[in-house]
Amino acid sequence: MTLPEQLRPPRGLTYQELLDADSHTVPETYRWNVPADLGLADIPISRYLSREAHEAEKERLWSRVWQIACREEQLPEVGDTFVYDIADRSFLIVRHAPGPDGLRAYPNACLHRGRALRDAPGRVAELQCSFHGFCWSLSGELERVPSSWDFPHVEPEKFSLPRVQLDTWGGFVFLNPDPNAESLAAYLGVLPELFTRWPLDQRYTRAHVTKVINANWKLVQEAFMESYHVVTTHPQLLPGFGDANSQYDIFGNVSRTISPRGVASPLIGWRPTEQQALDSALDVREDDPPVLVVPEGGTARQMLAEAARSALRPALGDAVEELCDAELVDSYFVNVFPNAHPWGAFNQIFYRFRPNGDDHRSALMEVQLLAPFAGERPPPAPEIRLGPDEPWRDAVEVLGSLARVFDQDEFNLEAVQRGLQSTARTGVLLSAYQESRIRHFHHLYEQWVPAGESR
Amino acid sequence: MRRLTHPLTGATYEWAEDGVGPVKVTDRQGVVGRFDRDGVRVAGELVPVDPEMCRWIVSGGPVAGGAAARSRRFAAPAAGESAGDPVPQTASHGAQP
Ligand code: FES
Ligand SMILES: [Fe+2]
Repeated sequence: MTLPEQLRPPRGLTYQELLDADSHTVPETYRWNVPADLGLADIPISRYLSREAHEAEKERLWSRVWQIACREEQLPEVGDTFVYDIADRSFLIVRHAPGPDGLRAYPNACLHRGRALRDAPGRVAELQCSFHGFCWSLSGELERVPSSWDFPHVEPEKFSLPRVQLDTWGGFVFLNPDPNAESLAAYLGVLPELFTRWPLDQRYTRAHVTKVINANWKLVQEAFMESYHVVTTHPQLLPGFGDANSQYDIFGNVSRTISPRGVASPLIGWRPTEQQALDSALDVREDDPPVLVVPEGGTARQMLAEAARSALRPALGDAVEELCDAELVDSYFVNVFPNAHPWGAFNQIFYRFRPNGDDHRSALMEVQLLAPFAGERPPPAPEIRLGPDEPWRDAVEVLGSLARVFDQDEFNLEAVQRGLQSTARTGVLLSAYQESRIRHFHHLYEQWVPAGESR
Repeated sequence: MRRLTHPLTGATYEWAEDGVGPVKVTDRQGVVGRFDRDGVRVAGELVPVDPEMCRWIVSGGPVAGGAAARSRRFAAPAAGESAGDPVPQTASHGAQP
């Protein structure tokens, strides 16, 4: 599908033209240019506000879709457990054996009177309920029932913990509560192909921050699916960020944006020097000491690529010489329906968005930095939790300048929720191209949660 | 101090020497205002201001470097490292849409 030509904005170089100037061969997947024509209809506002929509999501979406529960590195040893909560449901992930097939997921509920089997992650030898002591092995077989004489109706071989579909990709543990769901591989489609050069299973969690935001999870997520908001939300980036040169692509359950860095936004009415573009990308102010100096005839993109290359060399070795400028410099952000956002190339970012427990008016936004490493896998960083009133900048020690960027995003999010509760409109307006990934999300959403149930 | 020109309006945004605001904004006509991190006016004549620029100036602090300037892309990931590493520890943050 292609967009009508008249919808193409006057935005200077296209991203594909910029790739033509790359100093290295660009991976084939960068050449995929797949816009989607999904119409121009508004998105019903009730979908963000109503309890009915949330209830429909619980029944039709969260109980049937492949979703990321955690990282494999969070369960390295046999006996490690992880609790994954989504809306009002809880699942227990257990490592019962070493190796890639050694993980299982169960509903987090004792088969006696239903107590959650685990309240938090931790390493255990067996799964014993703390209420009356029913006990299962790590692989889910019933091991003990206290006063078993009193349960003549419990046949141990029929009393194993029910399994929930689980699979892994990229070092992520996915689960699907629907026993009849299609395979994860079929669901992910082209995703593995996009990431062949940047295997995410060979990363470790360098930082992990989760924040409560007082807005519906979809609203929060949508603020991270386009570069259209950069002009107003992150104006400091414009001399070194080609927001309106971005490319937006749609592939099945996956979508991506690639936004060039080290080039000026076509939206500013002046032409920054290469040094100004570089300084903007590095947040070097007019009176700060220089960090990098663009040599005569050099470009900001080259300087950013070289700096990224030297930072990656300790982990990747000579392989960094194969990486093209685009991989080293540009923002490449991917969405896997419904709520996972792994960034491509070496951007290191991973986001996940969920309802905050069973509350449809607040969301958990989770950020992990997935860094390459050399030698032994470092342990994953502990999760830092921020409440709704704690700003992202409180996590600046672990997220660096990224926390400051989120602080700018956050400024709008609760206000979007408030605004939608007050608006005279019944629908949210979306642009044809730059917001096409949000439209694509809703296109899929409507297939999972049919309209009558979500309004 | 730590001055940045707004790429669209041409006004300058900086951390005020006296900390009042702490953001000092000077428009192209030289009209000055002081604003807090959310762009709320604290003093001065200037009225229109970009709150997101104020947030950026405040979160970057009065001095260059440190954690607030550390880039996810350039920073080597060793635990306990300090700002001041030789390789650019500064902000890159490509836009975080
Ligand atoms: S301009 Fe986009 S939400 Fe207001
Ligand atoms: Fe943003």
